[in-house]
Amino acid sequence: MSFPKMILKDIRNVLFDKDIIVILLLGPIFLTLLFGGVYLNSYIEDIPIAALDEDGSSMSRMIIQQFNEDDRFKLKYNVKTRKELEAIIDSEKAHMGIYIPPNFSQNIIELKSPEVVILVNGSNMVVGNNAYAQAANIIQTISAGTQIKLIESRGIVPAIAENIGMPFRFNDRVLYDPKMTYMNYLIVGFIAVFLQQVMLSGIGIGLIKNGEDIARGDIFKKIMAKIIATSFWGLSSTFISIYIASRLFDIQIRGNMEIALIMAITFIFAISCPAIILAAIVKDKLKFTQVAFMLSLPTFATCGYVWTIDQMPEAMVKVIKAFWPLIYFSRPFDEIIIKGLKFNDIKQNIIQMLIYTIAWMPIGIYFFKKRYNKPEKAEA
Amino acid sequence: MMKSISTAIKAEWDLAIKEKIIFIVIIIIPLITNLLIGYEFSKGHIDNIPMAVYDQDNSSLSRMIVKQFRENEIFDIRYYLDNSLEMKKLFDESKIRVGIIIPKDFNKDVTELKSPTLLMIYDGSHMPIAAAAKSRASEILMTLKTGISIKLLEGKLNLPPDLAKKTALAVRFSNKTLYNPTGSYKNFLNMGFGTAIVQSAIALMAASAIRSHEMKGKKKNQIGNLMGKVAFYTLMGWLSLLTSIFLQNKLFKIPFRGNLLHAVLLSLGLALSVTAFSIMISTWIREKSIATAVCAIIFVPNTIMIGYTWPVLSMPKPYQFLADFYPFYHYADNLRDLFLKGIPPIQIYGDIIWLISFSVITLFMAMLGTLRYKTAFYKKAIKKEGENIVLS
Repeated sequence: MSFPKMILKDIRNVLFDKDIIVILLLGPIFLTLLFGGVYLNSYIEDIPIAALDEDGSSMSRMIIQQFNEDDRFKLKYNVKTRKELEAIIDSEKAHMGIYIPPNFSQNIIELKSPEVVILVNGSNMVVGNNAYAQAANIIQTISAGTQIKLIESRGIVPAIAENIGMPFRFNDRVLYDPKMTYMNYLIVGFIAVFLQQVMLSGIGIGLIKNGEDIARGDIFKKIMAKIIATSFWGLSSTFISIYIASRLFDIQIRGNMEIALIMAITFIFAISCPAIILAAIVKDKLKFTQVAFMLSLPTFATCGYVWTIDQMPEAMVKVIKAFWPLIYFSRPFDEIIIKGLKFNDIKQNIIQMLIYTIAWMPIGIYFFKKRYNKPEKAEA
Repeated sequence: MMKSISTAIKAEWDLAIKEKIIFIVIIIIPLITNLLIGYEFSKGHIDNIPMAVYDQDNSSLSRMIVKQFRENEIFDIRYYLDNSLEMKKLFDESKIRVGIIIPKDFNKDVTELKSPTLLMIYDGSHMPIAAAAKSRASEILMTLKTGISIKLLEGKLNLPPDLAKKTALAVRFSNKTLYNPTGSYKNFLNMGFGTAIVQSAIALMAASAIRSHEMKGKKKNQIGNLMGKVAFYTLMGWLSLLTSIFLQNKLFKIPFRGNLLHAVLLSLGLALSVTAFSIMISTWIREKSIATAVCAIIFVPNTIMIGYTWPVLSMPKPYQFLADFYPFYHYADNLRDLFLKGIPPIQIYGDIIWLISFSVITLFMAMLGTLRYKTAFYKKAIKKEGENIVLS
């Protein structure tokens, strides 16, 4: 059979296979919707906080009110002692506590630089960091205002007092995702992992189903036909998921989809290599499924997506690059879409994936042929 | 019944020895994962964020600002630029994640009390890096601002240094971050990832544990067989969970401040409830690959669904409602708290009781599934027998 005919046959097989449609097409779309829903709220709002005001002055009440009026916080507890404050944070009823010491207001007037203490529960860093960053903003604004008033009280005109208190200003500009949301940070990475998982399962299970048939004759062409046919659904679900993320979850697409497509296709060939090897080792559909599902978390955690490559130990990056191709794909794929990386910026990754494929594909095919040409033992 | 329980445990053990997949999935893959993430996050903090500087002023003050960034371990100044377009290009190519633009006459404007503005630019596409850079940059700039303010108060208002300092620091604030004061990602993530992989393993293997040919014989033996499998996978999973806790504490030095017994009991509760649920699925869905896929969809994405990182309190209401039904929700935060802060027994016991209740309910449903399984199995057998008669 000629190569195009082979591909057409495989496409016909996978196109109407109910199981494959569920796994390869509907699975990633469902999971994109499910995970996207988790990050629908851009900010962490209404973080429960507690306050201990030992001053009881109009100034201290104003500070606490500032916190209460901020969207990020919800003042849930007014406590009477430091112990109570610590206990409430300890029990996680409140994630942050504000402590204003006695004579706070008086000490400001007397230039004794009194201190507001912010206690943050740091065990969940996402909540802790968010709470702290916003608290720091509020206190700094209050502090600057107070300082300016103190300077004014020395008979300085307000405009000059303000400029002495604020000798310079700094503006923050956050590019690509001004709100710095979890949605923008993670969703495209998840879609990249879904592509990995569906291609692993699609190719692996497809090869195991017809292992002996594939191992006979022109194995290379047969495997290529299988990969190309399977990628039809894999690519469809990936780009439908990206479309959903952009329409439903407001992911801004700045990049060129053709570059994203080239990247995804190269990755499909690269990820096929471990799929072939794994299929050759386990030779069983169920076992393959079990191992493939188990690989999603460790491969995602170590692919330079959540924790970037430049933050990882160098030796580890080298080992992972040699064995698992997701590291070449996930973060650049995200940045093509979110930031609009150009072809030149990701060329190196494409070349590395091609080298990975050229190195591992022959090993995979050799191994597959050897395993499936071997007569089964009596137990089968 | 005891006999059938021990027979089932032995049968499962023999299978594990023969097929090895049970060991690979429940013990080996989680072990490797724990070693990998332990090593990956061993540094704990984000540092050396690539940065570019565009200093249009080139004064002693602007150089002092740049020096503060250069000497901070969070930043790694890799480019000194001559124009902002070049900076945009570096951002677009992902070569830098932070940039600072100091305007012309910055120093002069500060001295003339014109309050000039400098610009900090961040790449927001990688949230943790942007957040780390932003918070450290703000700290640096606030300290510099206070320092300059003190100098201006001394120079322009002729205040003595001590008074100038006290005026500039009208209100101080101190921050005390409890439990993970250094904000280490290792302390934050490792236990959750390291144990999530174990519960996925238990779920994936237990989902296909009930096999048709074992579903013969008396009801009593059926239940015994079921209990034996629950015991086997619970013990294997428990062992793997404890290994993960041990590794993260001993090898990767994550502090453990709670009561070890609580972690041991909580892990047993998790292993039991995940096993019971997955075996229940296995009794109700006979097609093994479907049962495995169902358990995978429920358990594999657990770190996301139970708010281990992005908190449940910020999820939409239906997710908040759903999270409470996941065993991992009653486990992961508690385990992290046991590591980082140590928590009162009453909090742990509440969740252990929840895990036990969940296990009892799912085991009961698994028993119903077993009885149904048996009926369906016989019906199928009878039907097949009928067909054979017709055919013959």
